[in-house]
Amino acid sequence: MFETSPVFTVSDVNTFIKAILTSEEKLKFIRIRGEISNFKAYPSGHFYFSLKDDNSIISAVMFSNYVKKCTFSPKTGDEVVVLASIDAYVPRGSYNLTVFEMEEVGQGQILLEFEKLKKKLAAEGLFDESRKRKINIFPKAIGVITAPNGAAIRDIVTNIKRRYPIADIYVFPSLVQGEQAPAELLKAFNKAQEYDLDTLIIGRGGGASEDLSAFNDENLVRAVANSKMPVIAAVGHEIDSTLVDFAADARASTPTGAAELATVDRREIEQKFHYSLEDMSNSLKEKVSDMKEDLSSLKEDLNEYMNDFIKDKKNELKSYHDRLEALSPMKVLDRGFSITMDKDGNVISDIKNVKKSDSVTTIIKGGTIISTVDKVEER
Amino acid sequence: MSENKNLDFKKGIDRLEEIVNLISNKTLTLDESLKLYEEGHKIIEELSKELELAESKIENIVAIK
Repeated sequence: MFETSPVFTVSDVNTFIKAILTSEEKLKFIRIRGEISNFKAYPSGHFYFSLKDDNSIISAVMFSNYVKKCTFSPKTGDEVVVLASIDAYVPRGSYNLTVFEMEEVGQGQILLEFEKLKKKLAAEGLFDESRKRKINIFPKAIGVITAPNGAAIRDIVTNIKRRYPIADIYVFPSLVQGEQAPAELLKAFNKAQEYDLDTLIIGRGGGASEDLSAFNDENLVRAVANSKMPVIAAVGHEIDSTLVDFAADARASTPTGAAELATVDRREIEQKFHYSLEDMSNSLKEKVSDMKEDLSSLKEDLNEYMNDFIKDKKNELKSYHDRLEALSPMKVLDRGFSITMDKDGNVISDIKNVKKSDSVTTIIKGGTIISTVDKVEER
Repeated sequence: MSENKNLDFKKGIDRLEEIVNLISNKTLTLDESLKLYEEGHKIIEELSKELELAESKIENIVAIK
């Protein structure tokens, strides 16, 4: 019986097994949950790892074109759910999973808890607009809670110094992701509360796929909401926000943005100085010009008044002159009267002052008569 | 912490804005206008200098054990 059955090669068997496995619909595009072990990411971009549970293990590969679409960075120990198909490798007689999609287990759970916490804290009013304080853009001291190395702290410091170098910067370093992060962030935050800061910046750098979960920690969020000084959060990016972002007094999508929210730009101030100086100068110039005008028109008024005054006085003088003229004794001559004077020039106004043979001068209109008295008759 | 920031920067800016407004008032005397101008000019000089000389002090609060 054993000798009469057909004899196959190993390759035949392995090929046949592969055919069976890969044609089985039930083994195509199935979801499998397991823990990643022996994870290795190759330079080619492919992931090679094993997926295991408490009792079994199976090899798996995720090719680079699928890896690109993967939204998280897997590592050994991660609990995941994959979408995969069975494949077999004939030369080795082994089967494995070809993975198309990978998702962390509990993603849904995590999201649910996030929404629950968000609702709860919102209901307490921690995210209310009315609680948010205005940021003093002329700060004397700014606190920064972030990782002690990396782009975030560098960007924040550089931009604060560039915009408003008057502000002192106090750095409270902390882990920003991982298990220890929430506790460390809280410690740093509470430490910062002891300082006399105008503003506190809490943030991190990193790309979209970074783990922001530490900034959803309830204790940290509460601390932010109850902060002694205004808080600027620079945690979440354009798409996602963390609860710390909601609780903060202001938020930016980048560390640089946070520095910009926290300070006035000195160039604005310098411009303001320039314009203020111009405005004040113009006001002063206007004032002087107004006063010159006032002075000028007063001068005119004065001149006019003086001219009028002189004219009036001239007229007065003329009228007196005319009156005087009219009363002048010389006028009397026009009417036919004459003035008789003795040889000394004294006017003879009394008959007693003249006698026969005196030499007298008589002024009449047009000239004088010089004569000798023939006879004197008293009236 | 801010021992040398005797000039409250914001107060200076606010007063400067105030002066620019006040000085445009036509009913001021020349003397009052000049005094305001001097004050404004002084504020700008002092604040500019403060900005120029300022250098952020950066303190790393380490060892939060």
